[in-house]
This record gives sequence, C-alpha cells and structure tokens, in this order.
Amino acid sequence: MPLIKKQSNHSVKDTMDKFEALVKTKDMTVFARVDHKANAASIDMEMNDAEVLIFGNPKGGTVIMKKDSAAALDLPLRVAVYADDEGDVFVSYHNQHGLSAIYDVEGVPVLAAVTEALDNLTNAVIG
Amino acid sequence: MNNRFAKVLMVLALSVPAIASADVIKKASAHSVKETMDKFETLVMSKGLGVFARVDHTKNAMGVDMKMNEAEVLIFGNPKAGTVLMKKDPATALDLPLKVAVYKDNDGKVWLSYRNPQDLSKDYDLAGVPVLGKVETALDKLTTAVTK
Repeated sequence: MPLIKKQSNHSVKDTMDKFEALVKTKDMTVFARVDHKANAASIDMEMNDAEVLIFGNPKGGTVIMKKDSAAALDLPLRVAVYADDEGDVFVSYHNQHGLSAIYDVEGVPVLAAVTEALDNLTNAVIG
Repeated sequence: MNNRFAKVLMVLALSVPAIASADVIKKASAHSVKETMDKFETLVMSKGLGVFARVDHTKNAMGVDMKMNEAEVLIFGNPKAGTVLMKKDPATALDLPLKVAVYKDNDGKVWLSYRNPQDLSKDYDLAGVPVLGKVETALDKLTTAVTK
C-alpha cells in the first residue's frame, strides 16, 4: 500500500504522545502502542527510536469490513513514528485508498473520510 | 484486472488451498474463526513470540451497534527478527509487529490471511535481509498448522 511520510519537529516519544492523546479525543480506540526500541532493548539489541500506534474507530472500520471481510487484516489502522539514521523524525502510515487495490472496497465513502482524518491528525502533531 | 486473468485467479482459488492475491496470502481454515485464532495465538505464544494485541472486529462493531461477519486480527512478533529489519530500514516500524487475520466470508467460509513478509522489501530497503525468508517460512508453518 502507498506509504505517506511526514517529518516531525518533535522527538519520537513526544510526537507519539501527542498523536495518541489526539486520537483518544476523536472517539477512537487505541488497541496497542508498541515501543519497538524498548522491545529490542529487552533482548539486548539496539535500534533507533521507533513506535507504532494501533488504533481505530469501529464505526469506520466496520463499514469497510462489511463490504469485504478480508479487509480485517489491515484494520485497525497504524501510524508509526521513527527516527532515521540521521536523527530526523518521521510519522508514517499507509494511504487508506490503497485498501481498494487489495480488497473489494472501491468507492466506499468511508475510505476518503479516514484518509482525510489521518492526514489532519498527523499534520496536527508534527508542527 | 482483465477478464482472462480474473478467470485464471478464480480457477486458482478453487484448486489451490493457499492463494496469493494482491500480496495477501489466504488459507481456508477447517475451524471456526474463534477456534482458528485461539489455536494460532496459543501456538505463537508457545514459540516465544510476543502478542501485542488480539482485536475482535465483530465485538468492536457490536460495541457501536453494528453487525459484521466474524473477524479477528492478531498482532504479534519477535523483536529478535523485527529489530534486524528496523536496523536495516527504520521505516519498517510501521509494518511491525506482524499481523494475521482470521475471518468469515459471506458464504460462511473461514479464512486465515497475512502478507508475505518478503513483500516488506517492496516498501522498505530490506532486499536480501535473510531474516525475511526465515519469517516467511515460520509464518507459513504456523498458519498451516492451525488451519488444518
């Protein structure tokens, strides 16, 4: 699926803290926040800062899965925040319109709404 | 997709238990959604992999008074493998941990689905990282074991 990447002016932790807090104010559920670096540290490995938030709104997701149950694999949504090797911090996610290339969900209006919401939410936390 | 290709895909779908369509691997399960996912989660944990979330889409839909087919997704992984991938390309963080879905289609058939980990190298700079092949083999074995 097409990948969208935006540079953040904040640290990985600050960016994800802001994003998680924002998502929770928007009637969305957070299913997991995975700190990849902490998991790596637990087995004595090192890596750049990187976290991923798994979240969603069943009101949107259910409409998509009613159209094609197979979309269950790509829901809930994910947004990652990570530092590259130069120390720049990025927010990334898959463009939800990409779901219609994989599943029979072409033209489901909720896809555009989710894409717009993800764009707005991620813009709000990187500045 | 042209018609001839669509027909070929349909024939494949009828004749081969596991098919790859648009990057997603699908295996028919002989068990219910819940049983398949219970078995898969137990197996994954027995292999020392971490389970980060098990999301029951149908239950979440009911929580907002909506109905849908049974569908669950498990989010799991092994930092030993995942860290190697993210050290090669930190952007891979988005598609880790791994996920496996189990769902029922409109005909009542139960499917297990996931992406071939090798496909991560289409989105990220991971070409030739040996761990991808190992994860591919492991996922194939684990998913085959629980769908029989």
